[in-house]
Amino acid sequence: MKLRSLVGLLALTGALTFGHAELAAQAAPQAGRQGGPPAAQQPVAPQTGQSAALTDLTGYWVSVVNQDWYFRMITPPKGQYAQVPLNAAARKIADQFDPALYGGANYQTSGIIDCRAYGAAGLMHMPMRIHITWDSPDVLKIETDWGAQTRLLRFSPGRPNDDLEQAMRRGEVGPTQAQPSMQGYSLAMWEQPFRLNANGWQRGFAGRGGGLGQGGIDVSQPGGDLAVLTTNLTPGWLRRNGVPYSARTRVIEHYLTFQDPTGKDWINVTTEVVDPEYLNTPFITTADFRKEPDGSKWAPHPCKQVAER
Amino acid sequence: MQIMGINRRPLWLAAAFTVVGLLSPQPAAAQSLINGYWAPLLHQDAHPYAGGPDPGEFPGLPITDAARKVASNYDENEMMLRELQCRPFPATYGPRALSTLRAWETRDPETQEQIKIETTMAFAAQHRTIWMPASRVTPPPDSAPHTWQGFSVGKWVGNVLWVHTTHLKEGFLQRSQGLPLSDKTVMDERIFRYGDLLVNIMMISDPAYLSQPFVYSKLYYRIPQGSMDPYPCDARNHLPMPDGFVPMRLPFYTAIYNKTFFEHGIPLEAARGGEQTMFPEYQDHLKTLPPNPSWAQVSAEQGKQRAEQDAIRQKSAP
Repeated sequence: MKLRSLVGLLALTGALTFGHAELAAQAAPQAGRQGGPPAAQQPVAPQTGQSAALTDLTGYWVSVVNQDWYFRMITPPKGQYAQVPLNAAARKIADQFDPALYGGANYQTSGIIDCRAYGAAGLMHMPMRIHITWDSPDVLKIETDWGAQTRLLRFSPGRPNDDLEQAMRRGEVGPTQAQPSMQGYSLAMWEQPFRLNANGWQRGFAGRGGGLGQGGIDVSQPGGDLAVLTTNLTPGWLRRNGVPYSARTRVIEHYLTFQDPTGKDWINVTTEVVDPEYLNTPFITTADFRKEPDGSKWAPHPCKQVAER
Repeated sequence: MQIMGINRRPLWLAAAFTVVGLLSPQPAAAQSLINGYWAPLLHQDAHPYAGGPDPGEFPGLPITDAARKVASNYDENEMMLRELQCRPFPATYGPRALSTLRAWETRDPETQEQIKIETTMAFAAQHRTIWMPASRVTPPPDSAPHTWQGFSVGKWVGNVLWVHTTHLKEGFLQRSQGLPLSDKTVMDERIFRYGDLLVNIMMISDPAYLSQPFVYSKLYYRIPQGSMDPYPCDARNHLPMPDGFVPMRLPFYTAIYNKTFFEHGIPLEAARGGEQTMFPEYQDHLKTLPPNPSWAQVSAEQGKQRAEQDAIRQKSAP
């Protein structure tokens, strides 16, 4: 075969191969990962948070308090704010914690917990069960038994996949006009694998998810996580002994599922609290939740409302 | 150049890309997500890894009675024995320590496939090798020597590095507590990044001393221009001890409570640990526990046991 014919044949093969991959990726983003048939012949419905889900977070989950036990399972002593990068103003507020309001001499183990400890910036670190459901195709709901809280994680309609870090850099996400509240306003997005340092082949070729170097997506790869940005918060506590965060706080979370060696499902939640008013640096922690078969252990425990003085 | 009126250069390019694409490993080759220097974040669980925790302080750990019994014979002064001062740390503990981590990869020069990832911790110079990918690594036989770092194989699943470690030497769950891990211990890890944040989920299973896997997530932050100091361990006499003396507690010695419990307000029952202390319903149980005895009372009991033990030791000394 002459050289020019060989070159032409290889080019044609490449065009057909990558063209097919591009069509498959555009028409059926979930098909590659789940092994289902491509849906190229069917009308393409707009993607929702639910239909684009990279992992199933729904169900009952229990927090497993295997670290920071002293700060999470009991109320730490007044003035104990070790590990939190608090500034002087925040320490002054934390020192105003009044044990008498939470059980007096037994305040550490009384189980009387201020509702401010269940605000979005500290919530996922509290010992509790959570129930995750789809409230609507673009809203994931998290309810808690201890503290009796409800969080709504909202996906942007038609745009459930994105990269939170990049979206923040581009200034596309941030505080909204929503009324401040304990759980604030949470914007959610599914982050797909290989956003960090994939090579051209892993990202997909030109035209497939953005082309070389554009951070496109290879949908055939497993994994991914849920990223959540929460703003519009009212002041709350990072710990149940009154360690404060301010209304200027923003919370960045990542939810990633995994299995333990016994086959049980878990969620790892990484929480980054950024508070320019009370924290010298972002405060970053993790919490692990294990899946439960049903809600039989769900045990509502309301928190204590204490008027701020 | 033109072929039938078409510019030939794009065709060459397309052909070259096709050849590379057809020859490239499938699925996508492994990543190098964790290369570099990483500093431990001290925002959670720093206390147990910064010199502590204290003996007898086990809340939130899924330990068995057997583990508790072994730990009750442990004397924290054991770490001061010259023979043990430079003892390495096991892979089940190293990543949890407050120490800089460095990770690097080795690739096959011909295929560019990742063949191993190595890590080292500044503290105690713990060097570990993760052989890649697991599917192409022949595991050692059960009878192969067990080591501090064990034998690790890994694979990439999406952006997550899965690591499985076996052949670990008998070790400990936490430093300075005497909580044992047997040589049947197996560790599974999931290691991944969010930007400059590195998360290592460690799942430690031990049929001898843990009632369920101990799942622990550790955070690191990237150091763009990292460096690492050497760790020249120098054994010396920190405590005056006669030759041949081994600090330990005799089996009857049960009171190992520390004053810290009382300062932290931790009920003594919770300090015994066990998987029940890890779940939210334990908060309800805590309400029902009686108040702790006074520190003076417990301290007096410990002093009595210590005196009894010293008397036995002196009696049996040559």
